[in-house]
Amino acid sequence: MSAAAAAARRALFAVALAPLAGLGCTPRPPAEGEPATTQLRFVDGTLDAGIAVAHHPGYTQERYAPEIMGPGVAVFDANRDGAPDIYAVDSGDVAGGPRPDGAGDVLLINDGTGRFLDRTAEWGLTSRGYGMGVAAGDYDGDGWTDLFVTTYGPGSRLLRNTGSRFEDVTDQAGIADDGAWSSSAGFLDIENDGDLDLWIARYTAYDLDEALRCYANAVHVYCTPEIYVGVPSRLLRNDGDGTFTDIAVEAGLGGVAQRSLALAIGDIDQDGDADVYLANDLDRNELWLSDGAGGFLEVGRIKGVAFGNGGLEQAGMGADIGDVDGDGRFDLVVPNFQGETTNIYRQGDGLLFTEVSDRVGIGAAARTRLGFGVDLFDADADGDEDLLVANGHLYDNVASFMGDVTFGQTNSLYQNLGDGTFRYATVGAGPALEVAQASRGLATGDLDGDGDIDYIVASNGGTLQLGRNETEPAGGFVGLWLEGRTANRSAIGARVEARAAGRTVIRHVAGASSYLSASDARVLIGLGDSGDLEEVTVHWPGGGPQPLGDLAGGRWYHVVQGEAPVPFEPGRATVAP
Amino acid sequence: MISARGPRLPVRGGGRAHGRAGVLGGWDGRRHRPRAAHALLVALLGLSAIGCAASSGSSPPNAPATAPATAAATASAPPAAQPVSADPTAAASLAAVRDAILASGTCDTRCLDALRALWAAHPGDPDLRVTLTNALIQRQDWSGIEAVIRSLPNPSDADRLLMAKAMIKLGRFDDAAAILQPLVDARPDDPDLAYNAAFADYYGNRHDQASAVLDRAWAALVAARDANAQTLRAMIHLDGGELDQAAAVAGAVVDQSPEFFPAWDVLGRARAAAGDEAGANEAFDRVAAIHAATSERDARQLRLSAQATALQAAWRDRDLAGAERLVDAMLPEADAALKHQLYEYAVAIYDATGRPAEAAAARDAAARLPLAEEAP
Repeated sequence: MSAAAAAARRALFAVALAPLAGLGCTPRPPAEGEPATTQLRFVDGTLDAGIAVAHHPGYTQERYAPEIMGPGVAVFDANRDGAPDIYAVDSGDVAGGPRPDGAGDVLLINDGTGRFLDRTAEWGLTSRGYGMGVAAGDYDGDGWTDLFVTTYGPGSRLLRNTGSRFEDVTDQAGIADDGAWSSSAGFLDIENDGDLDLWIARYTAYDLDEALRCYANAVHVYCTPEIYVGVPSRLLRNDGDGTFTDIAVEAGLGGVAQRSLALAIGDIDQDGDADVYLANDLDRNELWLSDGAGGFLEVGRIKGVAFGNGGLEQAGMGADIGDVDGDGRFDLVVPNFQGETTNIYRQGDGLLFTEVSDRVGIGAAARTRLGFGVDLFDADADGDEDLLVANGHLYDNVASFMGDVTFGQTNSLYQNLGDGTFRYATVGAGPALEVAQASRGLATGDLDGDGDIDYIVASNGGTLQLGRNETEPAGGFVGLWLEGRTANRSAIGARVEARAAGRTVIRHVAGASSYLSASDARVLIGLGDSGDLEEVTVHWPGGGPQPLGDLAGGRWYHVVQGEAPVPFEPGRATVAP
Repeated sequence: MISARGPRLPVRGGGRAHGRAGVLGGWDGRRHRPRAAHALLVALLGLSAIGCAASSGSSPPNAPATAPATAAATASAPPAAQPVSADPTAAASLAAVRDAILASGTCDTRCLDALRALWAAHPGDPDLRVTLTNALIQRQDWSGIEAVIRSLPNPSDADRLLMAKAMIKLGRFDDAAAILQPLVDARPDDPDLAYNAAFADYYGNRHDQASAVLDRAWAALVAARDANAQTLRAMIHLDGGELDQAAAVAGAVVDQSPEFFPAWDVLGRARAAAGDEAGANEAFDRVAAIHAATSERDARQLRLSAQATALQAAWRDRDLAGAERLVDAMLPEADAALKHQLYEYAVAIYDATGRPAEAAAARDAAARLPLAEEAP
C-alpha cells in the first residue's frame, strides 16, 4: 500500500460516529437522588505535546490476522525524572520484509512539562519483528524501568534500561524465541524473591503460508481466531543473574493453550502476591492465583470469571483490575467483541465474582463498540474509579455489511457514580473522545504533571493520540511512586489502602493491564472533598504493610519500602536510583 | 462431468465471521453456526422462519431470537397505499435486488439503499417488508428494524415483538420492556412473550418483575420445554442468593436438555456459591466439553468454508496445483457430501494434468462413499 493510500485509509477511518447517537449512546441524565458528578472532559493534546507517531500495519490484500491486531503503547518513566515517558510499538511488514520509511518503535521522552521529544535513536532503540505490545518493569532491580516488546513471529525482545540507553539483552537473558505470536506481556514477582519474572501471553498458531481467506456475508474479512489453535503462555522465571528460565509447566500452567490477548497482573485476592487474569479470545478467561512461591492455580471457572453471563466463552480483548464499587475488593473488567458487553466481574465474598455490566449501566453502550484497551482510573479525582475503553473493529470493511458498525470507533468513557454504577460519558466529554480510530492499546498516566490522569491510545493503521484530562476535578490528589527494597523494585503487586472522600480506597501497582500496553506504575488517588489522603498503608508484595500516616494532598511522594515518603515534583530532576 | 465453472461446492459458513456471543436462536448454542449457503438465501427471502444468518450478535448471550420476518407475521399489517406489485418499475427493482441477494448471498450497502428507497415509496408493502427486514437482520441493523416498524402506521403485536427484540439486541432493555409489558399482560401464557419480557426486565435490573412474568407463565414454559426461560429463572434465583432453587431449576433444565450449557453454568455457579467445589467443577466440565465440541465443529466448518472459496478461485484461475493442495487438505475434514464434490475436483484435476490412474482412483474413492443424499 502506498503512503498516500495509507493516509487516505486512515482518513477514511477517522470519521465521527454520529449515527451511534441513535443507539442509546447519549448521556444519561442523573436520576433523582443520583449524586451530582463532574463533567468529564478530555482534549486531544497530541499535537500540543509534540506527538506525531503513526502505526504501520502493512495491510495486505490477504488480510493476514496479525495486521489488524496491534499496536500497544507503554507509559513509564524511562529516566527517573518522575515524568512519564512513552514507548509506542510499531508493526511493519507481517511477512518479514523491510519496514517502510519512518516505521519503527518510538521512544518519546517527556521534557517535564508534558511535551515529548523523539529520543528513539539517542536511547539506542532499533526495531525488529512485527511489533505487537510492550510491558514495563525493572527486572534487574537497578532502578531503571526495562521493557519487553512482543511480536508476531520472531522478534520479541527484552530491552534493558541503563539510564540513558536501552540494550537488547534478549539473547544474554536466555530468552529463546520460538517465533509464536506473542500478544500482551507483564512483569510480576512470582515467588516474592525481589526480582521480576515475566509472563508472556500468546495468541494463535498462525502461519502466513497456511492462512485462509475468510468471508462474512460474502465479504472478505480477517479470519476468526476460532479456526486457529491457541498457544500456551510462557512464564519466564528471573534467575537473579540476568537470565530467565521458562517454568510454565512447573508453575502449573501445564501448557494450557488458550487464545490469550491480554493479561492483568495484581494482587487480586490480597494475599500478598501478584495474580494473573488472562483475557482470552473465544476461549474461557483464566484467573491464575499465585501461591507466592512460584506456583499458580487456575480458578477462573469456579470463581465466576471464566465466562460471560450465560456461560459463554466470549472475545476477551483486554483486562484490568480495580475496585469498581469501592468495597475494598478488586474487581475485573474485560472488553469484548462488538455486540458483547464490556464485562465487569464484581468480587463478592469468598473471591466469587458476578458479571454485572448491565446492572451497573454500561451494557448498552458497550455493545455498540468492539473494545480492546481498558483502564480503570479516577478521571475526576472524586475517589472512585472511572472506566475508559479503547474501541475499534477488527474488519476494515465492516461498514459494508453490518448495520451502523464502523472500523474506526470512538472510545468509551464511563463515569463512576460513586457506588459502582456508571454513566456513559463519552458524548460531551471533549474533543479527544470524538476521534474515531481503530483503537487498540491504551495506557494512562499523569503526562503533564498536573495531578490528573491523561491517556494515550494507539490505533491500528492510525496515529497515537494523547487524551489530556481537562476535567474540573472534584478534589485534590495524592500521587505515589513506590519502590521496593525486599519487594521487587517496581513494587508490582503492591496495594495501597487509604481513606479519602469519606471512603476507603484501594489501588495497586499493576504488572500488566489493558491490551498490549503498560500504564504508568505510579498510583494517583483522587481525594474528592478531603484535603489529605488519610491512614495510608502500603502492602508490599511479600513484605507486609507499611503505614504512612496521612499525606497532604496536591503532592507526589516517592516511597521507598521501609522509608518515609519524600515529596517530589514530576519532571524537575532525576531521582537517583 | 465437470462443468466449466468447476464442481459445485456446498460452501458452508459463508455467513460466519469472527463469530461471538449473541445466540440469536436463544440458548441452543453459544455462537452462530456456520450455515449452508442455500439456508442463508432462504432466510434472506423470508421463505422460511429459520434463524437469521448474522455473524455476531449484539445482545446478552441468552438474547431472544430475532427470527426473520415472514408473510404470516405481517398479516395484520395494513396494506400498503400502493403495493410494489402495482408499480412495474418498483417491482422490477425489487426483483433485481432479490436476484442480487440470491447471487451474492448477502445484501450489501447498495442493496440496502435500494430496499430503503423502495420502502420510502411503498411503505408497508408486505413482500418488500419481508425482504427489507431480513436484510436488516442479516446486517444486524437493529436500529434499522426499529425504524421500519416505527414507520408502520398500525403495527401488529408481532411487529411490536420484533421491535422489542431489536431493542434487546441494542441493549435498550427499558425500551423493550415498555413495549412488551402490555403484550405479555394480554397473553401471559405465551412462552415467547413471557421469555422476552422477562429477559428485558432481568437485564433492566427489574428482577422481581422478571420473576413475576416467568412464574405466571411457568406451566406453559415447562410444557414448552423452554430451556431459555427456565434458565433465566434459575439465574434470578442465583442472583437472589436462592442457591437451592437455582440448582433445582437449572438441574431440571440439564436433565431435559443435557447440551444446554447456560443451565450447566448456572448450576456450576450455584454449587460454587454453596461451597460444593467438586459439584461445581463437574458442571463446569460439562460447559467446557460442550464449548469444545461446538468450537471444533465450528472451526472445521469455517476452515472448509474458507478452503472451498479458495478452491473455487484456484479452479477458476486454472491454478491446478493450488487446487490439488486444497482438495488434499479438505478431504480429511469433509463429510461425505463434500467429499463427493472434492473427488469431482480431484478427478478433473488429474484428468487435466494427464494422470488417468489417479483420476480413476479418485472415481473409485467417490464410488465407495455413501450417496450424497444419504450423507449426513
